[in-house]
Amino acid sequence: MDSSVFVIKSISSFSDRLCDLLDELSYSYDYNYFKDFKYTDVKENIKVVIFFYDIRFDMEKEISRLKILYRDIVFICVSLNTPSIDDQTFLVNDLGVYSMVPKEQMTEKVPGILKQALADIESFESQSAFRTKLLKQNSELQDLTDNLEKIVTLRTSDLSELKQKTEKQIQKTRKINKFVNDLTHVQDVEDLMATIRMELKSFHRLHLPMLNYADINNKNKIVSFQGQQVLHTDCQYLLSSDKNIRVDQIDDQQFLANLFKRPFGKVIAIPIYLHLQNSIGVIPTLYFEQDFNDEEVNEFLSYMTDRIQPIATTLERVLLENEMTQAAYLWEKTFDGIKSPISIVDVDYNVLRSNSYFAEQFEASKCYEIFASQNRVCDNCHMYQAIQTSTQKDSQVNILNKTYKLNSYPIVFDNKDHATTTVNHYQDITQKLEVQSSIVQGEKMAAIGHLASHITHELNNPLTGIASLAQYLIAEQKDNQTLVNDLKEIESASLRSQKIIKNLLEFSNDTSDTKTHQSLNAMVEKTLPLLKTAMGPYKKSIHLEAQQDTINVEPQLFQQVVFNIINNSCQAMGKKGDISIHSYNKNDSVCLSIKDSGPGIAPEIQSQIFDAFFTTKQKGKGTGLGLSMCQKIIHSYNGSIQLESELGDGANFTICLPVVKE
Amino acid sequence: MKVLIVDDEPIILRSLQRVFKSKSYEVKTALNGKDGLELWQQWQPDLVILDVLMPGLTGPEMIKEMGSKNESVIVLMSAYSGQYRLEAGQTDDIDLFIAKPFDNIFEIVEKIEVVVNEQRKHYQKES
Repeated sequence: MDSSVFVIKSISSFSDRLCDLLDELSYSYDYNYFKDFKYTDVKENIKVVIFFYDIRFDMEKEISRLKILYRDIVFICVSLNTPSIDDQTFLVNDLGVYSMVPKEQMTEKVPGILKQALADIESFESQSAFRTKLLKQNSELQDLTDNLEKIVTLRTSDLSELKQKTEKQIQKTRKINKFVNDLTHVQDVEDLMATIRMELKSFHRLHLPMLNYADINNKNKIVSFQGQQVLHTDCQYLLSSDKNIRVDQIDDQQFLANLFKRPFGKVIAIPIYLHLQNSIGVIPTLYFEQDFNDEEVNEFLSYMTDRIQPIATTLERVLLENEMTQAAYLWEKTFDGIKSPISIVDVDYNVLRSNSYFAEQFEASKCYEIFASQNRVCDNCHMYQAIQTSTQKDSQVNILNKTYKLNSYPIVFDNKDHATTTVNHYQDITQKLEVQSSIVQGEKMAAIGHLASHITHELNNPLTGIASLAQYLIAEQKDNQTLVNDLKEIESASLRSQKIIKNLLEFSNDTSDTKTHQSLNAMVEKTLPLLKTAMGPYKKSIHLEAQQDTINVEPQLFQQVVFNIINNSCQAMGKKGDISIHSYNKNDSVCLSIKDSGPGIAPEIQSQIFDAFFTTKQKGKGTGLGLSMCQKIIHSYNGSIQLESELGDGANFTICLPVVKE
Repeated sequence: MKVLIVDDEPIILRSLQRVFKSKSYEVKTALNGKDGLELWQQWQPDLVILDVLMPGLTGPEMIKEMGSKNESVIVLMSAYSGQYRLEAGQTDDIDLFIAKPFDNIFEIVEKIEVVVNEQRKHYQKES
């Protein structure tokens, strides 16, 4: 075991005696003689130094060094003589000697003091160890605290970095959102380019964007900027390329250089993939001329990567919208281009759509309100049957003085099994019918004329014979007055018949008739005998009083008109009735009024009464040509034909014609 | 004087026959052109009264058959006011044209007598 005691021996015998004592007490110790002693002789494990004080020796130097080296070392001093004041001061104040023992008391006291000292030292050492431990723990705690702080700082900085990153991300997303939002307002390709231009204005070394794409008509187009203006031009070159983003490719530069007739620098080409394919093989591509460095290129590409999809979607939308708009426009123009009314009508007669010939604009909803200005379904309209049976139906309807052929084509939508709407196509056949009716009338008249001339010949011969024979017999039998009177009756009847036939022949003559100056009154008078049968049962009141009655007409046509109207009036009356025919002058016109006492004509059909093929007569009795032809003929003389009638109070037709001054 | 009347209407034939007979003329009648022509050839009448439209031969056709050298007075009657009258009217061989219907038979017969008398004077002078 290491010694804990060191003895600095002196020349006195007391030092030997001390060593013996220590041996006796079984203390292990190191020692050296005072004259050879160096402070370095004392090892670390030494706790107690026993030395001898002799006033004759200076030992201050080495011992004080010892004190400096081992602050906790305990000094026990055996004094061989009484120390001087200075030495006492040194021993007590500087060295802190644990105990001063006079040499006489050495043997007696040193063992106790040494024991005590060692015990003290042990006690002190344990305290010191504890303190040291505490200190160490403190320092460890301190370190721990320091570490924690470091970690906290680190974490904090991490967090703030993350926060910044997140904010950046949010910022970025916001920007993209704004861009996407801007794109939703884009109406056409020009808009789109302007929006892209705005979006990229932060890239200062980027030139204005260009877009190569195929429009809805499969035309190769290039969109570029000239100042603020967007230029939309045909692109005569086709660049075959893949769908990858290309940076500084010579093909792109050449493509643009050919197009714009100027050299191009570095070019970034960003293809935009669309679902919408075009047949001419154009891959829509955005071109950017740029002066970027590598870093800026990456930044730009990263920026664009987030935006290509929205741009593609928008371009696709714009193209589709254009296509739809154009298709809608095309249809609209197509239907307006068909110069007859067309409408799409549902089962309740509501007009869903129509072309401009049907109505420019309308407030009502039903087709008959809009087109026919009436509050009920048009007579003879078969549109409803067309919807019900899902088959095409044709109708002939009279609308506002016109006759239409109405084709109703039912529309069956994909998700339905029967039609709910029809396309109604109206063809104005008024003129066609008029032409047809005049042809029919012409043929009719020609046939009558032909027939009449035959009848005339066939009847004239016997009638002439009857009259002649009667005349002969009258001459022969002049004494028999009764017989003569009878024969005269025969003669007169024959002559009258001849006259009627003569008039009929003139009336129906199919040789072309020309306008000549005629007396209205005379022509009416000439016509009346032909109507004798028709007018027979009725009370006649005939006053042809017009003083100036010269008119410029085709005599036979005019006679037909008079005949038709009088005949109609007679047909309208029952077994009894009054017919009044009178002529009069009014202003510069001569008028012929033909009034009957029949049932009159209902107000709602008064407007149709002059329409071709309109008839109130029983089937087979009338052709519906009479009044429409009359109106046409009178109009051709610059005259007018008018109807005044109230239900139950007869009808009055008035023909007015300009008087010809002779 | 011998009068031949050709018409397909019997009552015309009858009335004319009665009037001419009452004036003491010799009268024969035919109902069509063919019979009429035969009678003319056999009987050689002084006066021939013809209708235009008849079955068989028409009036103008019959006149053609009779030839231009006949000595009969020819009167043509027609109920047609149109084309036939014009064509027939232009025929030189006709001495008188009478439109049917006529109002008074005596006036017609008198007109015919005037023409016949004129023709007779003419022939008498020649012969």
